[in-house]
Amino acid sequence: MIELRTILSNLLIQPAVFVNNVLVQIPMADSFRSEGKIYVVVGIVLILLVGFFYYLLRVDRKVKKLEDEINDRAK
Amino acid sequence: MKYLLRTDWWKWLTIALLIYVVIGGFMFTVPRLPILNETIRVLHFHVPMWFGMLFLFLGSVIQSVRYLANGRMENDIMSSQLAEVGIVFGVLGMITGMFWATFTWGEPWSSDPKQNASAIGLLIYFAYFILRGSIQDEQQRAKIASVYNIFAFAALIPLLFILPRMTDSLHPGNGGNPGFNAYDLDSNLRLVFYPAVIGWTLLGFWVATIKIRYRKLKEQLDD
Repeated sequence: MIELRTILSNLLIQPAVFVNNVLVQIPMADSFRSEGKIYVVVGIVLILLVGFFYYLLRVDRKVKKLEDEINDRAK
Repeated sequence: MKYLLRTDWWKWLTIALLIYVVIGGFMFTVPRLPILNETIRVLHFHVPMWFGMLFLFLGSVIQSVRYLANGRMENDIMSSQLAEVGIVFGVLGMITGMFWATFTWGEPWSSDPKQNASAIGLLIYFAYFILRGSIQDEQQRAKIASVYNIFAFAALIPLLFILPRMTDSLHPGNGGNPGFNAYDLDSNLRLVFYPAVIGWTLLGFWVATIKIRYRKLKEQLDD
C-alpha cells in the first residue's frame, strides 16, 4: 500500500517539480542572495555563535578551576 | 563519555563545524522545491536538533544500563544530565518545527503523525524527570529512573521513525511525501547536513559534560 502510494505520489509530484523547475520558476531568494545583504545576516549569526562559544568556553574553564581547587583540597 | 569528559579537542571541532554550517547553510545553493522554497535550509538547523536529541538519549540509555550493571552513582549522573540536554534539544526541535510549519503547512500544529508522535515522545521523557524528582532515596531514584529510561528510549524509536512512515504525513521525507529522500537530499545539502548533525550533537555533549562535572563537584561537596 505504502509502495503504491509512493509510486503514485512520485508519478504525480516529480513531474510537477520538473515542470515547475523548467516552466514556472520556483520562488527562491535569488536577488536577496546576490545583492540583498545576506552577508549581513550570516555575519550577525556568526557573531552570536562566536559569542555563545566564548561564553561556553568560559563556563567550561570555570568548572575546570573549581575541579582543580576541590581536588587540591581533597589531597 | 569518559573520553569526552577528559579531552578538549572536540570542542574546537564543534566550533569549527558549526561556523561552517552557518556559512554553508545560508550561502550554498539548494534544490528548488515547491512549498519548501528557501526553508529547505532549516534542514541544517531544525533536523540536527532531533538527531542531537537522539544521540544524547542514546548516551543516556547507555549510562543507565551501565548504572544497572555496576551500581556506580557516576553513571546515573551522566545518564540524567545527558537526558536533560537531550530534552532541551527536543523542545528546540519542536519549537523550530512549529515555526517552520506556520509558513509551509499554514498552521503551527496540524496534528500531523510526525508532530503528534514527537510530542508523545517528549512527554514520555518529561515523565522521566517527574519520576526522578519524586523519589527521595538516591539509590532507589537511580535504579527506577534507569529502568524507566530504557523503556522511554525503546518507545521513542518507533514513535519517531516507524509510525510516521506507516501513514500519510506532511513532514518532508515521510509517508511518500517529497522531501529529503533519495532524490532531494542532493550532494550540496549533504555537504552541510552531515557536518551539521555532528556539530550540533557535539554541542549537546559539550553542554552535558559541563553539567556532569558540575553535578560531580556538587556530589563531592555534599559528601
